[in-house]
Amino acid sequence: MKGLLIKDFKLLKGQKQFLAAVLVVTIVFMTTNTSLSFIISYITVMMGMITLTTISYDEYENGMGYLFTLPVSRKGYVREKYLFGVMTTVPVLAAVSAIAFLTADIRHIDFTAEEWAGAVAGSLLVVTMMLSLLIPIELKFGTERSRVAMMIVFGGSFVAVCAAVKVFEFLGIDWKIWISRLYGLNLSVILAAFIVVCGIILVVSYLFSLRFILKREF
Amino acid sequence: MLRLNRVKKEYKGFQLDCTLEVQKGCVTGLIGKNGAGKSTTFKAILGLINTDGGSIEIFGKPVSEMGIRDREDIGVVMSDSGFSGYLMVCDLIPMLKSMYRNFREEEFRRQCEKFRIPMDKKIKEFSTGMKRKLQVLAAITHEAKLLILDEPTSGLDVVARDKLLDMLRAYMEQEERSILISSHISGDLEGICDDIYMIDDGKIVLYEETDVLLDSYGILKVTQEQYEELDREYILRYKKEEFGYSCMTNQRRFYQENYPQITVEKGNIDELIMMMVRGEE
Repeated sequence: MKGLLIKDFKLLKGQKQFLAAVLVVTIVFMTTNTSLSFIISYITVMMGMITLTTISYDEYENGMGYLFTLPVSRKGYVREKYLFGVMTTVPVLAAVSAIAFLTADIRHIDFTAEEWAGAVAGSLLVVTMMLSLLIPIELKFGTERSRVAMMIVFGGSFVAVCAAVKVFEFLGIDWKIWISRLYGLNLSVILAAFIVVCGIILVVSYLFSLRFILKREF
Repeated sequence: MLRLNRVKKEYKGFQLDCTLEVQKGCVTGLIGKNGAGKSTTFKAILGLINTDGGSIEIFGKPVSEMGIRDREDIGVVMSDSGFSGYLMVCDLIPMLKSMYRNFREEEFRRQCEKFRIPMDKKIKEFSTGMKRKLQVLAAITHEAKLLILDEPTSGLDVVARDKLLDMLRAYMEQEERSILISSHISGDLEGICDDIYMIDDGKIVLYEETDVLLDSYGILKVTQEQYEELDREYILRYKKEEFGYSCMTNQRRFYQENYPQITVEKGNIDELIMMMVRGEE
């Protein structure tokens, strides 16, 4: 797995322009914008994209097949992708969250600890959902076909959420109360709960990815 | 070293049914026209496709049971894939060092320099030949016991091809090493292989030691009348021609001695392939 991590960090090194653009956007937003929650989630999602990009790069000219002729197991490959995803997003999320917190203090922006925690937890959930959906899709369908699959999944998810909201309304269930209840909870409880939920989502996604890669032919 | 027994794989309009063996200390060639099943055989050996039957053993172990450590003993060149084009050779070195316990970095760097493979250029900008050379270098610099090389010389000019074959010969100087190699350039195989399998339409149609193939096999050019009078016991394939028939034999001397009036050519591998594929039994 170490060799694969080296490979992916070398690929990341080749993404200098992308990383520079993300850094510039961060600096510009941190100095000019007051929506710090947005910048936390934006940067986290951008970093999450890098893991998906490395899969596309592995696929380039059927390179993934060649990778599996090296001392690399399919199981090890899938594990490494999730580990790389965590390694590239979590430290950046922690750093950008800390910077946002300091920025709010320096620029006297009204950014409460609850809002901050909500932004961190929300970003963590969004990037987890994104990677958990897209890693298995890319591994199953390959880079080209996964674009179509992604559109179907996102479209389907949007329709499913809208349908769920309508069903709740029809049944007279007030789902918004669940969110307001969250704000009543202790910050550490919210974060811990989100981490557990994200962990479960990642494990389920990993199992799907493993199933897909074990069946795939190159 | 490597044994395939009735390995089957079915695609629409194609069925592989392959049995072959690579002995310790031998270079075994696999030849056949495009689409004959060479790459499918290689992919089956490497576990890149699921087979529909038969068994594959490498180092006496079923390929499905091979672990990461076993894979360190294999070096591979694939005809249709390679290292990610977004990496540079200098990026590969720490990666290979981490993957192979016996990776010889100095030797790899030296060979890259010899073959003029740039360290700091993205692999996607390499020519096909350079990509192939890079794969070969990566395959032979980690003390592998078995090389599985699918078209390693394709895209190389004559000089580079010769250098590469020399490298493979040098690799074979150590005992207990083996190579399975495919190439559409039969001259490459004639010069390096101990034995050769010929594959056509997914099936092995001929197996012979290279020396025997070159010494004993031949092509007879006969007229209609000569063909009718010919003892056809040692004729493996024949093909109708404008002048009469071309006949492939594995007993060239028999016909040279008994039919001095007949033109008997020492067939090269290309001609033998042609006869095996297009001739009739």
